Amino acid sequence: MKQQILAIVTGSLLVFCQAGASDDRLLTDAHIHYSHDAWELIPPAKAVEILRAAGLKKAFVSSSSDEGTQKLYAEAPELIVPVLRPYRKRGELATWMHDATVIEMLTVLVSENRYAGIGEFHAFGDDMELPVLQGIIELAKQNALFLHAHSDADAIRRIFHHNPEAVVLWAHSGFDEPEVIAEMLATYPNLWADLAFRSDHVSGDEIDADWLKLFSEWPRRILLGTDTYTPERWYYVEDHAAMSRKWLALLPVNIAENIAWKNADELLRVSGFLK
Amino acid sequence: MKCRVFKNLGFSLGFAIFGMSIILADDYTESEFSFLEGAGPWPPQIALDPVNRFMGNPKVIELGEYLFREKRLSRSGAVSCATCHDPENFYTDGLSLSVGVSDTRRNSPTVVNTTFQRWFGWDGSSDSLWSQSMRPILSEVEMNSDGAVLRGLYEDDDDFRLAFTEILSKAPETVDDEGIMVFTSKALASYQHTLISERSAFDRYRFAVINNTPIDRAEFPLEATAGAKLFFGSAKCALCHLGALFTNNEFASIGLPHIDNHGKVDKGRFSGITAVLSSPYNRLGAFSDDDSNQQSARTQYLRQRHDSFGEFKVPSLRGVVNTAPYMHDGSMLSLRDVVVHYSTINLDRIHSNGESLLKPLNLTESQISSLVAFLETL
Repeated sequence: MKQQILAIVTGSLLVFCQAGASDDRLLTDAHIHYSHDAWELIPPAKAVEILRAAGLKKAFVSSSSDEGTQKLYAEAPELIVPVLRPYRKRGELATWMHDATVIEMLTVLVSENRYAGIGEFHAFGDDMELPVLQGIIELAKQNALFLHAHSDADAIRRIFHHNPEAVVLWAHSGFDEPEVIAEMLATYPNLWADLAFRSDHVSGDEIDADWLKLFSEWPRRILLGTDTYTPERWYYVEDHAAMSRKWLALLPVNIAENIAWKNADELLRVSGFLK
Repeated sequence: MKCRVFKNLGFSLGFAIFGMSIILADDYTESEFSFLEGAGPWPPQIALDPVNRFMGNPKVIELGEYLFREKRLSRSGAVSCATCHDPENFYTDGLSLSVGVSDTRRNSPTVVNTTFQRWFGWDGSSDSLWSQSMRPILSEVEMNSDGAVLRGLYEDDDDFRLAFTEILSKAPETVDDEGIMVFTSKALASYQHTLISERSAFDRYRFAVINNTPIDRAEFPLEATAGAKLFFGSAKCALCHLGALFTNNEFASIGLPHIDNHGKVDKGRFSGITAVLSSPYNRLGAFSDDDSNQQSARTQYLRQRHDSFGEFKVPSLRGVVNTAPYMHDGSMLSLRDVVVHYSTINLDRIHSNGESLLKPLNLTESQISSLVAFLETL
């Protein structure tokens, strides 16, 4: 029965699909890092050139340390959406949450610079109960910032438990299954999910049925992302954009446009970065 | 937990001569033993590949060997397959980055045992040995050649003309350039198909352990046994380097930089997938001799993935002591360098949802030496 319904829904949606990939479709990439080794390899002007060549409308950028984000934001403020990463340098993924000085560092930076969010940070399960994570949830609340969390579903639930009004971008959609993502999106109206480093939603010229169902049910809550976690992956931004345009073209126009960039704008409006 | 203890004559003698530490050396847990047992027998069954109808044909193999050493395959007349795959050097060149008609961006792997592979080249840009054999012929930096250059070889050299005519029952003038290129590649592959390494010290050790026969400690010292236990056990090397070929025949990121010697990114498997899917010479193409396409599913269902970017072949470790320098860019000069890399691996360069098997091994100097000693027996 479930399959029959899906088939009907899918059949209806496909009627409105686009004829082919649009090479110039605007995209917003919500998962870019520009850490110290990246800016050493790719100076800010070159980095912005890459983002523009990929046809990006906006790029959510965070870095370890924050200096990289500031360099890029200064280079192209209309393109870069600055996000504050709580890491001083790469290599703190598993230790940062135990560093009590992190909150002080973030507080100073938030007072000095303009940000849309805090993240991407890595925290799982009851990590969210640690003082540093609690401090971040509070800092985001006080400064109208979204949280970009590389977390499991449990940790996301804990964020909303502590602040039901929080705005959260769920990195990699938690590497969870579409059913779980749908359940989370249904439960938390201020939750968005990015697709960075995920390939399971599309295979060749076909979108997976479960993912298609998710995109159809939650067309306003999914974002794109590359995840430039090594400097070399900056040279993947264009490839990623091209691949994204190709599979987005398989979706109904309005859903594709939402995922491509409109959902990112909506997230920024809800969190207060865009007026 | 040690589940099984495998005793043999060598073990007993070792106990008598060297003392208690040797008793532990040949103890394998059930899991370790399973991996060790799976690393053979050697050689595996050597199957012909139906996409190349010439495989196994003695005349083609002989022609392929001559072609392999023939510099006139290259446009300049200065580079042969053997330039980078020297038969006197385990079919490698010993260089970090190979040099064809100009500098290349990658290390030349050996072509010994290459016939057992599923994908060919560091990025897997070919799905058969014959199409891989064509790739360097056409490469601008390797041989910079084409069918017209190859035609000259068959038309101008009586020996090559004779071999060509005998095998195909027609003169080279009656075959177009592309057909000549495909035939040459299949002949080269037919020769490389015969390049199988001999049984190694490890193979004899494995046989002894499995069959309770004496271990020759002169060729498989206790230090190598300690390395084997690490390799098949706690170091988890065998999770990727498994089976008789010591590889899963796939691709992985192990955190290596992949900006090449020209300052450009090497996309690795990502570009390899693009290349193999778009190649007219892949297993699905018109030049395959396998009309049934029964062994082409792996190409048919191959798809690009985001984690393919920056991945490179998990190489076979057979004969690895002979193939330095190591890695796609030849950046590691010795087996010790390779082991140290895994001991101190930088997880920052590996996606947290990527190669979850990889963690710094934090090996002691003794453990590093043991792993190297083991690798030297392969």
